[in-house]
Amino acid sequence: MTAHRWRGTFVYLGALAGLAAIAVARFGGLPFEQAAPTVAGSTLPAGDTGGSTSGSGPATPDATTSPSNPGTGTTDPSTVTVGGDVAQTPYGPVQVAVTFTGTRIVDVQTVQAPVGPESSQIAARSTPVLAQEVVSAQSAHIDTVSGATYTSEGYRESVQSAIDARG
Amino acid sequence: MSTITPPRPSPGTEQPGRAAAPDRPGSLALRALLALAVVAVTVFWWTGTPSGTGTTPGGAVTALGELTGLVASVLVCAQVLLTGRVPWFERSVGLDRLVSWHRTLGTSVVLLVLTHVLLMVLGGALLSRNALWSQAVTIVTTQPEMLSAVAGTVLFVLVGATSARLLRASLSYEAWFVVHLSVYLGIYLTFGHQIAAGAHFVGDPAARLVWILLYAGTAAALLTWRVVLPLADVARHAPRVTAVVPEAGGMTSVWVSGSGLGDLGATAGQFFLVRFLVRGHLVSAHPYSVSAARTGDHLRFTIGALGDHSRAVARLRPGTRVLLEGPFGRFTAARARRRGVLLIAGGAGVGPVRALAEELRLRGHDVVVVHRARSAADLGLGGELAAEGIDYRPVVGRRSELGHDPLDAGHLVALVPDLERRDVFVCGPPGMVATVVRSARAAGVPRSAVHHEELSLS
Ligand SMILES: Cc1cc2nc3c(=O)[nH]c(=O)nc-3n(C[C@H](O)[C@H](O)[C@H](O)COP(=O)(O)OP(=O)(O)OC[C@H]3O[C@@H](n4cnc5c(N)ncnc54)[C@H](O)[C@@H]3O)c2cc1C
Ligand code: HEM
Ligand code: HEM
Repeated sequence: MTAHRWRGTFVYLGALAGLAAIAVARFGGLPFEQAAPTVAGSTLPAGDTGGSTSGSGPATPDATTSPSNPGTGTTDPSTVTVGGDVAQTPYGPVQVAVTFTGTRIVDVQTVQAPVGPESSQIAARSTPVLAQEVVSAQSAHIDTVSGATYTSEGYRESVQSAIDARG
Repeated sequence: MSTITPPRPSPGTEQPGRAAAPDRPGSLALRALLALAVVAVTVFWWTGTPSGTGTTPGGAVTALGELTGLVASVLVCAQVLLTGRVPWFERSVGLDRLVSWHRTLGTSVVLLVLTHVLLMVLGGALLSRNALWSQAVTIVTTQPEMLSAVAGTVLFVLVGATSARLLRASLSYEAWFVVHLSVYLGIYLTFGHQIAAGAHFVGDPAARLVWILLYAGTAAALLTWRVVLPLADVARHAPRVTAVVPEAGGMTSVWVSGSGLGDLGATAGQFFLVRFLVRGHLVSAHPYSVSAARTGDHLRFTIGALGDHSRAVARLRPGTRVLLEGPFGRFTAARARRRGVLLIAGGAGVGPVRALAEELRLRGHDVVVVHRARSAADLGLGGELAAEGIDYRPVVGRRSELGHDPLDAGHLVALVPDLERRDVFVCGPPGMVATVVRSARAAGVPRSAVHHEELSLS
């Protein structure tokens, strides 16, 4: 048994190399997408969780007011919908659009949320709760929905960027 | 020499040439099973990880961290089962090799767990653009069951560190063992966060159930084979020390008897984990080999004064209760393929060699015993071996006095010229065993005919 002094360390290094190879295989070994910042604009179908937008890198300057109603809401002139940043989570991007009436947050819609067998389920379960929390808190300071930690974090981040953009 | 008359041994009927081959397939099967478990958990990770995860460095690192955690977790269960005295593992692999695998895997598991933690923090930091330390704080404060995961991981690291050669050498066996036992608590503590925070479990009740069953199954195996059955054996056989006999060279023979002990099926060359239920011996069980063959409901252990506990054995009193786990080991007469056998004993290895010599002779083998000792006074059990009608060749003297190692290839062949045609059994301190294995191979004995047992599990 003394013959195998470093065997455990070698097994570990081998395992690590194997796991990394599996991860590369899983993600196709592609370079990370350098997606151009997407403008959350008229293409925002509320509640579309299948959004293919994906961004990376520094906060994208896409927290613009919705161009369909530039600066204004449909009926009330003080109602405006602001698209938030795309927030990256391990399961995919999260992005929201926040509707303000005056300075009040009246609605939050999910522009995109992670997709996948479980992720979609988690998103479907958590985003209505998160929207409700934002409306009642009137801020991005909301509790994490249990079981949707990363979605909650991304949600917070995107809501905050929309609030910041609204100023 | 003792108050117990062993039942008259009956000559064996087995054909020496047709003894069972070592159970290679079983040990291959166990390795395959382990590999299969790792593959299964990888597939589970693969299918449950959305491709989009990999589009950012942070996402990819987090996903890799999850895979590392999942694999580490499966290996933790493997670790516990490897030392869990699962009968099928014992029979097909043998306790000594299981423990050796456990040591190798233990190092890997501790390092994998640390990698998991590092990747989870790093991945999260990349995603949130936090500093590493503040991301670590965020994880611990916002994710469920994380404090206990950290505590459990600290125990893992402690267990790993105390098992590392450097630290282990400066700890007594008992101190190391007590620290090592805390790993059970560590495993319990880290379980919660896996199903409460793990992205692959939170939204998936079926996966959660499988994971809970994996851990519950491991716990059940542990309870069955490490607690319930050994205690049931003790209740049934009520083994006690019946005689304590001093031997030459400071060794002590301890006879343990109990009704129906013979049913345990111990054969020459096997060992038990022995715990004498008396103050000073309670904390840990020590491996000791049986030193007499075919003794029915009586077992004899011959114990060399190698350390504090083995020395204290000389002061045991008849009547002392004994906890026995076993028998273990595949260093048995069934391994011999040829009629001619050479047994080489060193130090406390003379116990199992004495039992094997007797068993092999009864099975009709031509037995040569080489007994290695520092001086003639250290040839414990030598009298018994010489009286057996066995070709007994004591080899005494320190290597420094002799100016050579009498067990190196040249001297061993000079001592036993037909060495090449014999099965070789060697039992003793690890260094001596290694020398003999090298010499026998150099003399042309095939690997399958060299059988060895080191008197050390650590
Ligand atoms: C398969 C096997 C068969 C053995 N058969 C015999 C035998 O027939 N007769 C005999 O005299 N000795 C035998 N030994 C060796 C014996 O188990 C140790 O010498 C004994 O446990 C030393 O305990 P100690 O507290 O007196 O010594 P310590 O001074 O505490 O330790 C001396 C050495 O023994 C090791 N050791 C101590 N306690 C244990 C334990 N509980 N489990 C495993 N290793 C331990 C330590 O790591 C150290 O290397 C056998 C060992 C093995 C592995
Ligand atoms: C880091 C290197 C490690 C080494 C060198 C090591 C070594 C050992 C040894 C020599 C034994 C005694 C075997 C026996 O008598 O049965 C043992 C027992 C054990 N080890 Fe380890 N081990 C290591 C890591 C681990 C890890 C990471 C775990 C669990 C995750 C673990 C769990 C256990 C358990 C459960 C036992 C049985 C204890 C008992 O008797 O109840 N070990 N280990
Ligand atoms: C300091 C200690 C630890 C920290 C901070 C930590 C952190 C985390 C985090 C943040 C998650 C959930 C996030 C996610 O799935 O995306 C997680 C999941 C997990 N951890 Fe740990 N962990 C620790 C120790 C351990 C240990 C010791 C083990 C194994 C024995 C382990 C095994 C797992 C497993 C199996 C999962 C589930 C993975 C999944 O579902 O994808 N962790 N850990």
